[in-house]
Amino acid sequence: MNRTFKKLAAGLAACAMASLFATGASAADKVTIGLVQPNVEHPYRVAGVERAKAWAAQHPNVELIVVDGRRDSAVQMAAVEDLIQRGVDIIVMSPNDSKALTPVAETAKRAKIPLVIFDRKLAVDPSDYAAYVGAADIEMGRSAARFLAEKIGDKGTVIQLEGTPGASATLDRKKGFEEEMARHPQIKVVSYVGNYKLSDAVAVMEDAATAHRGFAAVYGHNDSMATGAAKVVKERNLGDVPIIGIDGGKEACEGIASGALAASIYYPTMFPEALDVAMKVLDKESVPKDTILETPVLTRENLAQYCK
Amino acid sequence: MKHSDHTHRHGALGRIKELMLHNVAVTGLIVLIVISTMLSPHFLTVDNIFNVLRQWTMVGLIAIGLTFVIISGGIDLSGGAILALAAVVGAQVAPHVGPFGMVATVLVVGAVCGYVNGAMITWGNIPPFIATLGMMTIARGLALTISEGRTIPADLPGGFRFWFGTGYIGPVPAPVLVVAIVFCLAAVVLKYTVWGRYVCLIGDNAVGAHRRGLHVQRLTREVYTVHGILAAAAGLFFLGRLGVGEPTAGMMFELSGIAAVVIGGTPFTGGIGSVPLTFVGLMVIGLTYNILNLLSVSPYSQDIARGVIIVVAVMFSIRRLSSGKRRR
Repeated sequence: MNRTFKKLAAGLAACAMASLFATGASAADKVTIGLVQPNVEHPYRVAGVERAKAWAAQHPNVELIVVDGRRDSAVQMAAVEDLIQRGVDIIVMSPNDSKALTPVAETAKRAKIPLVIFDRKLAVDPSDYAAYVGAADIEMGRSAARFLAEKIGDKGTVIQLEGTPGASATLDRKKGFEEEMARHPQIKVVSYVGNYKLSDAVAVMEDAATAHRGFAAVYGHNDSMATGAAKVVKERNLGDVPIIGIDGGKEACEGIASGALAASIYYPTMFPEALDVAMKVLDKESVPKDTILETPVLTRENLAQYCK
Repeated sequence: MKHSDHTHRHGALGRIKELMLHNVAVTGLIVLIVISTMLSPHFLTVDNIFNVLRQWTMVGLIAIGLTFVIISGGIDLSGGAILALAAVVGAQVAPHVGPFGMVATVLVVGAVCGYVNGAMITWGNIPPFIATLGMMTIARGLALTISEGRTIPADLPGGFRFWFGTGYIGPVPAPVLVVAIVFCLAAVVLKYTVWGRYVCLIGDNAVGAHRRGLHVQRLTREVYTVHGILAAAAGLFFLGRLGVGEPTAGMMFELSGIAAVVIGGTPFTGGIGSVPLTFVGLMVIGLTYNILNLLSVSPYSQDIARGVIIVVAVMFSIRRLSSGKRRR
C-alpha cells in the first residue's frame, strides 16, 4: 500500500516537473522531441527514422529521442509514458493501433505535452491532439486501381497482395482499390495476404499464379510484396504483367528502373514534415489540424524526381 | 507389447482399419489430397506440388531438427529466429568470403546458437521452453542489429542460387532435392544409428539412460546443436530462394515446425517419433495453405481453417498414442 502510494507520488512529481519544462519551452531554447514509431525495423520506418535523424542533425537545438513500439500497442503505450516521465517537450507519434493507443492523448494532455500524430491516425477527438500529418491511403488505393485499369484495358483478373490484416493502412489501401475497381465490372479482384513481407508474398503469389492462370495484373499493398510478385512472374516467364506497389522507397526505385515493377504510389515518410509541424506547434504558430501530403504515381517517367 | 494382436482376428477390414488408425497422419494426408483434387483442377499438378514442396523446404529443415529435439524430451522455439540470423549473416558475409565460406560461416552461426541453447538447458538448468524463448529473442535481435533493420540484398553466385533456390533438375526444384536428401539422412540417423536410439532413450527415460552410462547432458547439447545447424541451413535456402537477408524472415516457422512434428505423431513427452511422419505432418500443413490459396478463400477466414485442421490432426494423432506408447 505504502509502496504504491510512493510510486504514485513519484509519478505525480515527475508529471508536474514535465509540465513545468513543457510550458517553459520554445523552439529557440533546447527542445526535446520524442519520436514514437510503432516499430523500427520495417523499411518504411527505417527510412523515416533516418530522415528524422538527418533533420535533427541540422537542428542543433533539438534533441531527438526515437522510441520503438515493437509492433505491440502495450509496449508502445509504456514507451510513451516513459517519454512523458522524462519530460519531453512534444511527442510525435504514429500509433501501433489507432484505437488501442487512444489513452495516450489523455495522458499527454494531463502532462500538458502537445501531441503530433503522423501516418496512422489516433481514434480520438481532433481537439485532443495538436496536429496530424499523413497521407490518404484510400486515395493511394484508388490511384493504383486507376493506373492498372488503364494498363490492362478494363478487363481481366487482378491479384491483390494485402498487408497485415486489420492494420488501417491495409484496410484503406484495400478499400480504395476495391471501390475504384468496382467501377470496372470486367475486372475481377482476388486477394491474398502477404503481410507486407517479401517472403510471404512470394509464397502466396506462387499459389495465386497457379490458381489464376493468365491473370492481368498485380497490386501489392507495399513495394516488398510487389517485388516478390515480380520475382515469381519472372521465374515463371509469365510475360509483361503490370505490377504496382505502394511506398515508393528504394525497392520501388530499383524495381521500376529494372522494369520489374510498372509503378509505385509514393507514400511520404512524413519526415521532415511532421517535425516541422512539431516545431511550429512548440513556437505556438498556428498549424492546420490535418496536413495531408501528396501521393503521386511513381513511374519510369518521373523516377528521377523521387529516387535519389 | 504389440497391443494390435487382437485386431488380426477381424480379418481384412480390421486390418485396414488398424493400418489407418495407426497411420492417422498418412490417412489424413491422403484424405486432404483427395478432397483438394476434387475441389481444384490446379491442385494435383506436378508444378503445383513441387511449388508447395519448395515453399516448405525451410520449415521442413526446422521440423527435422524439432523432431530430434521433441523426441529427446525438449522443445525449441528459436528455429525461425536462427533462420533470420543465418540469412542476414549470410547476406552480409557473402561478398567477402565466397559461397563456400558463406555456407560454412552460416552453419557455424547456427551450431553456436544451438549449442548455447543446449548449454543453457544442461548447465544453466533452464527449462527448454524458456531457454529457447530467450534464444529466439536474442537471435532475432542480433539479426535486426546486424542488418540495422533493413533487408540486405545479397549478391550470390549462380551455383548457390541454383542448389538453394531457383534451380531445376528435370521437373524437380533443386532445393527440394537437397532437402529430400536431408530428410532421408535424418530418418536413417534416427532409426538405424546408435546415436538416434540414444536420443529416443533420453527422451523416454533420462534417468535410465544416465544409469546405463550415457552422457545425457552432452547428448542433449548435441541434439540442440543439430537443430541450430538445420535452422541455419534453412536460412541458406531463404537466401537462395529470395536473394536477400530479411531480418524478419521465418517468423512463426518454429510453430509450423512444431505442428508438423506433432501431427506426425511425435508426442510432446518424447521418447518416440519418426522423421518420415514429420514430413507427412509438414505436407498436411503445406497442402492446407496451398488449397486454401488455390480456392481463393478469403485470407481472413483461411486462418480459421488452418487452426481447425491443425487441432483436429493433432487430436487424432494423440488419440492413437493414448492406447500405449508404441515404437515404430
